[in-house]
Amino acid sequence: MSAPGLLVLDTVDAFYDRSHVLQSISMEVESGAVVALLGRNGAGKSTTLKAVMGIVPVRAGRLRFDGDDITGLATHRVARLGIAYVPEDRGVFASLTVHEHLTLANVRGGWPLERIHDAFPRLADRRDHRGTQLSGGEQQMLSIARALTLAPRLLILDEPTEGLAPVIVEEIAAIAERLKAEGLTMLLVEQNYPFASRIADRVYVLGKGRIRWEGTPAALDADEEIKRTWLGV
Amino acid sequence: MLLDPGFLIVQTLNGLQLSMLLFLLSIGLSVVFGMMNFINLAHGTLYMVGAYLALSSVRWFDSYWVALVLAPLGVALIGAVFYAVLLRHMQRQSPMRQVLVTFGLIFVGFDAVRMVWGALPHTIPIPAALDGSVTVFGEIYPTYRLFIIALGVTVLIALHFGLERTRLGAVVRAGVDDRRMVAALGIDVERAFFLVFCLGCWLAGLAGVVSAPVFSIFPGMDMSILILTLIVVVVGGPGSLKGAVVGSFVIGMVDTYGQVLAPELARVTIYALMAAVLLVRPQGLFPVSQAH
Repeated sequence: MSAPGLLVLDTVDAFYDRSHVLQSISMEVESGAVVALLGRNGAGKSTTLKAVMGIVPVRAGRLRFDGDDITGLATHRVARLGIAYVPEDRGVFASLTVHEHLTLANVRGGWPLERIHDAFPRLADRRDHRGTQLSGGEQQMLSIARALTLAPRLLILDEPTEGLAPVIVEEIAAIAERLKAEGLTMLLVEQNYPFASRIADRVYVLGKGRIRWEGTPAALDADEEIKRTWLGV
Repeated sequence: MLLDPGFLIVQTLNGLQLSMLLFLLSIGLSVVFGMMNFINLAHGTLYMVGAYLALSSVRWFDSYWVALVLAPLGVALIGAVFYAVLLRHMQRQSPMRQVLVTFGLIFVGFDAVRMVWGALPHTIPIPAALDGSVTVFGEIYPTYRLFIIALGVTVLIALHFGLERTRLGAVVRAGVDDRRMVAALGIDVERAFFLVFCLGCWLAGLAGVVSAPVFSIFPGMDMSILILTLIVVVVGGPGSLKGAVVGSFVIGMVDTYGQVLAPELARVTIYALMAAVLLVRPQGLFPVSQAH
């Protein structure tokens, strides 16, 4: 961890209501790494991602991306710096076709359609279907594919496997591994512990709005105390 | 009387004409509300100002067609200025504040037009090319009213094309579905919203111009049409072109037929319809569907 982090959170406090409070979160995502945020429901994982995206206001502390201070920046400006967000609810637009989702952002250097259709063959078949006509797994793939059209330098994934059948989880895992092999930096929130430990280089454990532990998946695997107290595994 | 084909043709055309005016007024209000949860009660005022600007431009240029081009542009400009100095700052406020401020603007507009143009009613002549009547299915009907219907249909087709086939249209639809996600794609939703708001003002101004030769122009002419427009948005469901089209058609027809068949119940029919829709489908007839 000698290289400066691509994304740095420095003692960040954020909240938008009583049950979503972050206290003094400091963490770092190095360029090229995959970092997972683990923790129970309500630990503050999604809120941390939303604070990075400028969706939840930061009350204290600083956020830095590639050396630039992005604290308090509007969401669309954060996105333009190269942070792509796949929200927990997937954020698929009901009234847009798959094709429109993939052409909406229109960012230079983003994944072209051929490359997306190659990586996500299901989306090629569903080109003219609208958001509401897709299965949960297809919506998740569309949300990830759409994020890749933004030419991201950091991909943020909020529970990408939530509510999906095992066979679809396996497909998502294969895509995540492929993106990792290509050197894409990722910050990931997961409840699915095996999935997270499979692709993450480093793990932060959140509990009640604070960072409780950090280390490698292997070290976490060996620490029964942390797993029992903060993950309930 | 109800089965007399001549009566049906004339009243249906009257209903369509009212529907088209309501469509021009409601589509802007509906999409703006769908995108930003922002309700502009002064939307009817823009319609009235459109009619008055048409009056002035007919006086200066002696041409309806010049008025048809200039007045909606003037209204859009006024809308843009109001957005920049006032409404932009209202967006993160509570809905009640938005309602109060834009409600206040109705009175400001009322007094402003009275100061500029006086309290007496005015009218503008029907343009020569459209003055007269044509025979529709054996019934004589004023040409100008058919022009209103044709203009409404043209705008509807153009908006449909713009919403479904252009990138701005896709951004607008996406913004109605999930504004936060549009921002997360690096798109400035506020700017798209501003363009939509101005287009909505332009359409309200257009409705004011085309109404001017058939209705009289007076301070307060905006109130009855504003109420009908709000009912259209509620009945159709905010945020969608389909909702505005169907809402306008239903309200235009029910109001027109209600007034000739049961004049003593004229207004009641509209409110009863709205109440029924709210009871059965509180989200409106064609709400924007959600993917999740």
